[in-house]
Amino acid sequence: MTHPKISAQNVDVRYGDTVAIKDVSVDIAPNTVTAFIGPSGCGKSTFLRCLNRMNDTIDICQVTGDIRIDGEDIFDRNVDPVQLRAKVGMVFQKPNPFPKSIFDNVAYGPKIHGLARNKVDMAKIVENALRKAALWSEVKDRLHSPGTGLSGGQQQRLCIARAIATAPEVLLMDEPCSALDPIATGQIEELINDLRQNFCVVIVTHSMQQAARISQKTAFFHLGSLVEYGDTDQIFTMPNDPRTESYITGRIG
Amino acid sequence: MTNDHISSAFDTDLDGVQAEIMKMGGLVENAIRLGMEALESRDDTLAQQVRSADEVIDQLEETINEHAARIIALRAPTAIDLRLILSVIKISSNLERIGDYAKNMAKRTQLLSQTAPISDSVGTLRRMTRTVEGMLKDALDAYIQRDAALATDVIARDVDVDQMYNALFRELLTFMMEDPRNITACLHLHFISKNTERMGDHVTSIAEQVVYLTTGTKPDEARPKADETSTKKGG
Amino acid sequence: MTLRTQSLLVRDDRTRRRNAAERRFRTYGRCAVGIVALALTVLLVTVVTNGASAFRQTFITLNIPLPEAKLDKTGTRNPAVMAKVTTLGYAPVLRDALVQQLADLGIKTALSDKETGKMISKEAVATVRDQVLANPDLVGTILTIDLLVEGRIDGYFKGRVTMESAALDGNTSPDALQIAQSLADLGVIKTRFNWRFLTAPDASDQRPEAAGLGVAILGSLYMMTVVLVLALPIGVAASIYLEEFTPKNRLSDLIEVNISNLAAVPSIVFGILGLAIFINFAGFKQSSPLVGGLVLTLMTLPTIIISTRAALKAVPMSIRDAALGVGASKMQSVFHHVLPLAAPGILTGTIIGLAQALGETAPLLLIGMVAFVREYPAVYNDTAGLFGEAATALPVQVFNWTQRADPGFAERASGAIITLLVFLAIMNIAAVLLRRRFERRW
Repeated sequence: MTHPKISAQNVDVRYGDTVAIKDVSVDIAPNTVTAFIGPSGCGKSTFLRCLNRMNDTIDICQVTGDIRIDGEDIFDRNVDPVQLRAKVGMVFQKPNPFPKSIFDNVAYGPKIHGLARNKVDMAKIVENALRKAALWSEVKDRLHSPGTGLSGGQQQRLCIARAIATAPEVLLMDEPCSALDPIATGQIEELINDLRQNFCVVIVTHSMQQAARISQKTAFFHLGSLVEYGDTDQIFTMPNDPRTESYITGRIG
Repeated sequence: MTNDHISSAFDTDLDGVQAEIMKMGGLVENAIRLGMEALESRDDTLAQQVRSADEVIDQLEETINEHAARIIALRAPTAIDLRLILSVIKISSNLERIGDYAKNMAKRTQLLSQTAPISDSVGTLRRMTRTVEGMLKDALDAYIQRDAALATDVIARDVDVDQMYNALFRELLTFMMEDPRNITACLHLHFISKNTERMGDHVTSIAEQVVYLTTGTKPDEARPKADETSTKKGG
Repeated sequence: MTLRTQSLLVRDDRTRRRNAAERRFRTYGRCAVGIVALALTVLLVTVVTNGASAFRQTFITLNIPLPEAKLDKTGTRNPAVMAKVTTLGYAPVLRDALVQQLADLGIKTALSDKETGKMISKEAVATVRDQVLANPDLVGTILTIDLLVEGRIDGYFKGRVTMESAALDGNTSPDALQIAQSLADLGVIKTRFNWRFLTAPDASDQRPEAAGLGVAILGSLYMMTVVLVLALPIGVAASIYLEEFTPKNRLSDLIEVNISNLAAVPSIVFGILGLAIFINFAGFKQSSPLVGGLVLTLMTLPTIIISTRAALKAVPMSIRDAALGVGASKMQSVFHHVLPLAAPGILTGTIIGLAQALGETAPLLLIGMVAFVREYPAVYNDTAGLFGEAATALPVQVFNWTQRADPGFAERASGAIITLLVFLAIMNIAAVLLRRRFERRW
């Protein structure tokens, strides 16, 4: 990879005495969808949360190692995690819109980062984000109704719109479809495919079929280590590591 | 990696479809052997048996295809499981073609029994079919044991079949040139030997599937072809 | 293995025993609820029957000629000068007016003039004097005014005093009661709803008919203001800091345990604390609403802190994660998202804390609010400062009145309890309604 968007080297994560992530090194390419797969508790979500320093909010969590975005060390003393999170957006497993109006949900990020010069600007930013999230046509007439009144799939798309409203360069998604029905899942997957033209997307997923469908690169985590990382077609037709094969074919392990 | 899937029903399905392949293979081996026997002994009844037995083989191929499609739809197999299903489909197709050639051999046997026997031509044929039978048995063994070495060996033996075909071609030519009344019988014999050579090619294809299944890559050496009859002049 | 195929329509032993146990439990539950309901009913019935009468008062409509000769000798109508005539000077004026009225109405009496004069409350004299001083032009006219009757007469109309007890009583006599009855028949004496009970200040031991809750209500109001203004911001800020910003370590556990313990400390200890710190050390005025408010603030803080923490904890982590994920700082996520969602819970906790503080007596007694206060405390004055003037509080007033000998005060005390209960009920209902109104589902 010539210029990886995110470059992680020898990352270790400890919760108190328990080791959650052991010596993980991986390069994430720009404008691609990278999928993290692995059994429960293998550390993929933990590693994802390192990338935008969300693990800072957990007291007993210690992260060591080198993580760079565009070559800059995110653990550098001068880096403000708040600023980092404007650049690296996150979408969570369960849709969690703020209990505010749809407009305010999407506008919150740009507002606190001062991205809009005036009201007209803000309305444009909100509209763009909602369009990119494929939600605009469904909500344009009710921007001031509460965000919590939407269906599950719409709420998740609202959360995606909220995340991309701050114009991040990387989008981290932690099992974004696990709480949604198959149709909503399909819509989100289609959306992710569109998003990769503008963003670098990293998605943690429990569903191997989903990883196979939407990602270009796949990383398989197991018991806190990165077992295999490669092109998605290769991982799913001819994985190198027997542990990867075991997991992908549904054998125990 | 343990060999059992978490879903035992998946294992049952895969075992089932592989058992069907082995059964089909056994039926095809039978067809070749009995077909040759019928030719040697000029036994019309046996030949007829072989011809009607081909129906079972064709039916099995359809069943195997259905089962394979079902597994693909329901289980979304990946990696080794995917290669397994793909190889099952291809092998059953190859076996069905071999069965068809055996049936054709039996049909021509019935026609041949009405003409005068040609001396000694059957001997070479017998050797060819024995070789092909041996190759098929080994290919199926290699399949069930996932033995890539054995499969590679089978691929190499196809050269012998081709060479035997060349020899028989020349032999039949001499018979035809000797006595024009031999031409009908010799032509039938030639078609039978051509079919047997094709059988060998299909068995080779089965062996190649085995190599793909076990190693993940197709055997990259060009399949050795010794059939010179279409290249050299005059045989 | 044979499977027992039992018909669903037939209940087996275990099911029957279990159902019986559940029925028994439900009966126990109902009994428990019944006991509580009974206790509550008894309490309310007792209080209401004793105290309801405090809200009605007997008045006499008197036509009082105001002679210039007695009230304004100089004739200048100057209140400063007229003030020199004390209530002692006004008392005969009222007495004569009543005697005259009786004569006019044709009611025969065997009582002496002095005895007749005693039928009017001693408080009434001050009322008339205040009226005249406020309005000097009344002098020389006839003032028609409703005046309080004396406590025993009032008690007669409320059923507390009978002819038999009057005969034994030193303060009244059956004759006086007869006169009162005649006046009532003529409509001159009326028992009507008594706003004075809620607005008038306390009265001395001999005048239960004049006693009111005005000062107590005002004092309680001032103290509640102090508590609200101090306890709410301090409690909420402390809670937010403890819940959102402190790292979870031994120290924070220690603090949490201590705050819970503080809520369990007997309130009288806070009174001692208040006495030692605010009055002795800091030198605030004794029995001022400020000190009372400060003591109650200390008492209410743990309640507010605990309920605020619970409200903050109830906000799901996903909201905070969402805010942080969008790039909000910790403070922004707390103030823009968590606090608005926790607000209903905080509000409810505050109102409940205030309601508790309203009913506290022991600490206030210790800081000296047990005194008899007649003047309405002003919000601010130069010597005492903000909320510095001496006052009393509702529960303290109840305590005070129950201590007094005159049976008229027993009725007053019950009336004050009713008032206190009504305020507490209003506050608690407000808390419930507010919670229902703002409760969100997420």
